Amino acid sequence: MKKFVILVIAIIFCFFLSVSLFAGKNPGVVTLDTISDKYESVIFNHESHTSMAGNCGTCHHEHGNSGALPCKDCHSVTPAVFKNSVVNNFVACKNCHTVSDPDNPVMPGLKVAYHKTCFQCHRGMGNVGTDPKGCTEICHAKKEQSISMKVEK
Amino acid sequence: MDGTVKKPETEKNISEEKENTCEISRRGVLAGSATAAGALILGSCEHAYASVEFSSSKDRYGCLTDLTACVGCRSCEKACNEANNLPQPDVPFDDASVFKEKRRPTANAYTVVNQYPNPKDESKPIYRKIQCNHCNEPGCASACPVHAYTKTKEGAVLYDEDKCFGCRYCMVACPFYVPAYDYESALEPKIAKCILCYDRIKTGGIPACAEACPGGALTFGKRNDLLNMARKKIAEKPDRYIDHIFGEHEAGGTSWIYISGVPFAQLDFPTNLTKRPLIEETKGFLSAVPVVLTVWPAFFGMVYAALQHREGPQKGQKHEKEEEKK
Repeated sequence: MKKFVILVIAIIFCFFLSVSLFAGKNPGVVTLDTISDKYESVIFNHESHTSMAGNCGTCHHEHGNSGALPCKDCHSVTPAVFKNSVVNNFVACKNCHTVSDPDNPVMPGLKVAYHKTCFQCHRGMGNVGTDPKGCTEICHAKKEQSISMKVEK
Repeated sequence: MDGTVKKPETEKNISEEKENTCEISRRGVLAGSATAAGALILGSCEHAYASVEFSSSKDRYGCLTDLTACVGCRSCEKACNEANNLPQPDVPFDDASVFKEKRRPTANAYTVVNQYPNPKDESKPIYRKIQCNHCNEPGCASACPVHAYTKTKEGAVLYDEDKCFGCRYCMVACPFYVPAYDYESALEPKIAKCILCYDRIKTGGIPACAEACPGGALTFGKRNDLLNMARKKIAEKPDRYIDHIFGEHEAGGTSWIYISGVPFAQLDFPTNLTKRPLIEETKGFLSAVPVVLTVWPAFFGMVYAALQHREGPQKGQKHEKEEEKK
């Protein structure tokens, strides 16, 4: 019973903190370079995005907003660990999202996880190239003219 | 006098009786044969669409297309081209000019993406990917006279081009106009279509198009999981999606299912499909054909032979009488 109460308090705390604390603290500038052999690395600035998004849950998908994945799965449940996990040790997307798994279609692969998050806002934005506007012209430039879709295993 | 009058009467009566018995038996035989033939046909109809070995496979795969997530990058087309070793297209895959016209899958492109205006937001056109939907009970397979098509337990509808003799019935039978014909090859023409990257999915992989899709518009998995996923998406975002999963029931259900933000009719999806598999429309009749062609001739031949055997002596007697009169 005691454990349950602590758990409930921790989860409530987790929700409050995710809104209040995230606005100022974030992982800063992240370099997304898992396919840097094909595309230029994407330099992602969290700061400029959090100010527009409001809270982390806006972009960080099912984690927190619709409750598909409980906060504690990534941030533990005790306040101290939670605070540490959102201020200092951030869980990278690629830690969980790897490749698409036919047996677990709900969990998208890393490529889809990234693109889905970006497309939420970047579809229809800007005025470069075709829709989605200018991804590969601005911050996601192709290294070769023609990039094969074949995945090396 | 009396004797001469009576004798023909008795003879007449006897011959009438004979004729009556003969007619009754002929009617009986005909009625019996009709009933038997009817029972044969009906019997075959009852079991005609009992080919549920693939419909009942709960673990079969499918693909969910979220039409609201597709951004029209045509990565799927490119991946399909590479995976199937198809020739390079005239227009490169990153050229958006192809969207000016509505395309159909061809022998050199098993999947194509078409663009449609978005009534909700003009800046975000809707893109519809077309490929074989891998019906639960494929019309193409039932129409093929040489059994070139196979529905696998994984869900894919495969095609053996060596068996094909080019009748193109499958092109007519497909409600989605998918099978394409290789018109350019004069000597060895073949039908071509998506096979759900069968070699890949058999070994635990996912189809090339689904693997290449960056936006999460294509999700490959077990069909039942995808249906649940689609229902959940619709329930969570009722503003974003219309409450309809295309392919859940259409044409008896398809492996490839779709969810959309606008009615499917606006995206040129066929909306006149029944929930019954198309096979049901034809299979009862077609499965009766071999029965009719083999059992009926034999049965009616027997009936005819039996009747001939009965009528034979009568005719002989009449001839004898005629000869006696002369």
